[in-house]
Amino acid sequence: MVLQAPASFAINPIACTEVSGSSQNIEELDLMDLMEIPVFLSASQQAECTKSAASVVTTISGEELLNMGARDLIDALELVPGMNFGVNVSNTVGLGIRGIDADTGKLSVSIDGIIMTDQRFGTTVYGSHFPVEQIDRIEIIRGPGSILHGNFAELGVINIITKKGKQLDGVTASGSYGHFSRGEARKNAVLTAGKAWDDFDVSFYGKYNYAHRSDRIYTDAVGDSFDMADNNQLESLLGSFKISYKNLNFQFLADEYNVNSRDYFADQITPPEWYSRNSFSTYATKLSYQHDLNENFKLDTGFDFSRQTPWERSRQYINGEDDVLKEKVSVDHYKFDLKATYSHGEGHYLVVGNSYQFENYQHDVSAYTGELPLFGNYTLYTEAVYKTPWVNILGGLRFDSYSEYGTNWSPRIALTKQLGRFHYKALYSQAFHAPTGGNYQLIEEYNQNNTLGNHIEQLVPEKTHTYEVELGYHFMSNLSVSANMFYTRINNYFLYTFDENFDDFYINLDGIATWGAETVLSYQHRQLGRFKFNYSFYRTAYDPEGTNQAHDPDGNIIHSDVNLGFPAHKFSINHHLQITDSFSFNHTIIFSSDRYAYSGANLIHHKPTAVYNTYFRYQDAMLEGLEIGLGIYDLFNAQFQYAQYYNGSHPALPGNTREFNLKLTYSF
Amino acid sequence: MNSYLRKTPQVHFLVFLSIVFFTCTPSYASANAIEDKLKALYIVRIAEFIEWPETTEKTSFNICISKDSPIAEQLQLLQIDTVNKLTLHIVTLNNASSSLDCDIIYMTKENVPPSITQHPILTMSSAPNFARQGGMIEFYISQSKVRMKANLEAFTLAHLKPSSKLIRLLTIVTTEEQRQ
Repeated sequence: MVLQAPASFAINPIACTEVSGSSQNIEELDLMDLMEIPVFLSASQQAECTKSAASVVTTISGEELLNMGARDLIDALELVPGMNFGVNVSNTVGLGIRGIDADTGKLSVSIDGIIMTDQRFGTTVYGSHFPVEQIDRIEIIRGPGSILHGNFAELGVINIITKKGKQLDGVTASGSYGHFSRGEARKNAVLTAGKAWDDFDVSFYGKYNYAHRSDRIYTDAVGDSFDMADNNQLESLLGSFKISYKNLNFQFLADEYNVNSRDYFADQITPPEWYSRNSFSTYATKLSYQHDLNENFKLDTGFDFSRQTPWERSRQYINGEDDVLKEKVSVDHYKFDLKATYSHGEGHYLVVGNSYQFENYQHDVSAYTGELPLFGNYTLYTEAVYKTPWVNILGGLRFDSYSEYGTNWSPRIALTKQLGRFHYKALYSQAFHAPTGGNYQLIEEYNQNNTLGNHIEQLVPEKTHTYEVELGYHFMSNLSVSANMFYTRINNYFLYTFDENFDDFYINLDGIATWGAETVLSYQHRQLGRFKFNYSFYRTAYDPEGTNQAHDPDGNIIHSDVNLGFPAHKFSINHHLQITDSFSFNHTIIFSSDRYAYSGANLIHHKPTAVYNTYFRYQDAMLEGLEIGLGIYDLFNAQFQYAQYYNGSHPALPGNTREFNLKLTYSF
Repeated sequence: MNSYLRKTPQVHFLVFLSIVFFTCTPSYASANAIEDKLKALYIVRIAEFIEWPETTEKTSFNICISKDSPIAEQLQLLQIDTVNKLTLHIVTLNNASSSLDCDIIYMTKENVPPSITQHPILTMSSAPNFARQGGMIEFYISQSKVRMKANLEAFTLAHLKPSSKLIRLLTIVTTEEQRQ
């Protein structure tokens, strides 16, 4: 039930700088890349830029990722305003956006347009999972993107765009080893390769990663504990192959990710004899073709298929007994999409598209003994922009017809403009989030198995209203500031919960809402380097049941402004200093204010945390093409805790201690 | 408490909007700002593709440009400190012919002063016919992208050698055509 837009929602972001006010660093490009940047945008390029400008957007370049020595996406996304990480269950870490848990199908994560968010429950698991070495850029919509990006884009969109063969132009091999204070952190190997011949472009990347979430002591709600050092493996194998000929593109992606845990699902750890393994796999293909009828009119067609087996759970015995598979459910997702775009030379555009998609579930091992229906969804969507000297007016509308959840209309309105050094955006979006097959199954399973005689109604879809205003100003070419305020309200909010027998299910809440502000300041100095300062704060605006808030033992709300697991204030700095042509120094600080979360029935106060990471990068070290990177992460041992975003009774998952990481890369 | 909070976002939006609208005075950047910045980067990046005469005395790399050129401002703002392992200096000047210490000169007129043509100074300009009139690199716009014409005779005269990688990116012109 997910509509996923074509691979990218923006063209080269540098070309959009004048339109959207984004701050991509053009100075890192070589001569060949510079020659690809248009000075004057074509009609369709202007349309794409306007589209990306009609959202609150952050772009992280691949070079920034390499400069900061990002170990995985967590290191990069922690620096994005509005984003916070927290534990879900069983050593899995998910993402929250603007004070709301997004790990329940509210965030669309994709690689080159291939959706990685699991179709079954809408979760995305982070931590030594997605490789960063092959990334060209990450485009992030910090707000709803449902009109074009579908069911999971209720609160945000993360699109990871990998390098093309032309950009890779050769082979790069990379390996790294990291060590925490008390145990092994990670070891991995990456191979990327790519080449372009005239209209052909071929690229490949593959990464094997073996890591640990932490090396600290995990203590459950009843006081039992285990040592996480060398004992909570995260193992991933991810590969992708892309080939394109002119406007025809094909991609195959395979992802296997295993997470071992003893912290398990709720408030108590597993017995010492066994631990739990959750496996997440995605095998996906994407075929797309763009037909340019003329300069103004183009057609996009696409077909996507994926087979995902998320949350495949098995019991692993320490003494070598055979593993016991507890649950394995696969979902096949098919999507056909056809979209037409008309772009006027002045930058006006009209998009009309439609898609049909469906999911087919296969229960190999499951406590659920029934049959799930085929979940189908037809979507018709349109978006148009009319530009005037003072305002670009965007209107969008999406119509969904679900086989299980009826029909829905979602409108979107955006007023935006870049006026010289100043830009503004005023945005209103509705989003519609239908339950997934996994949501459906869990409720059916509860009704089938529960012994309390209670029956739970199937979920009704969430409906989200988001208001955003952004203002930005380029004081100088090396100093820019942008700030936004937002208000997001989700009606019929999905809550994952369980009864006194720990049988889990979902229910609809009346709704929740948050509001807040986010600011970004970018500054470059010839001697001092490049700085990015981000500050964001979030406030609870509506939670009549108080379900997402912290209560004392008497039921009184401790802090009415803050949702569980989220800081009210978050501040980050990313500073990069190029000391010589080949040697650079990067450091980041991520500050999170007080947070509250539960451990069993006990409310835990997590004090403010500031995590400091530093990375030294030495390119062409000793011989051309050799790169050495040395990172020290959490230098001051702040020891972040991944607090849970909902009252699932799972204690906070300890983050890592100080990590030393050495990375070697060779390109030829 | 909740009802109060439900009302506050709208109030904050209005206050926020009001403050910024009344304190920020929009100033209009050049429509060609991206073009100027691109050209500034071309000027710096292109040095890596030129073989310069051997010298042991140089510690700096001098890019000279008229201070009236909009590209001069973009060059000054670049966060690039070195070129070919030499310290980059951006030199603003009014008279190109007096600048034999320059490694690159960006000129606003199409005529290259004869006094510098035989010195190892890379001459660049966006002036039409610059390359045909003896300049080395001439910027032009094609399909909305910055492209370069080059006069290889002018390179030879100045004892400069463009790399084969660079030559593949150039449109080659000759001075002979201009004379015809």
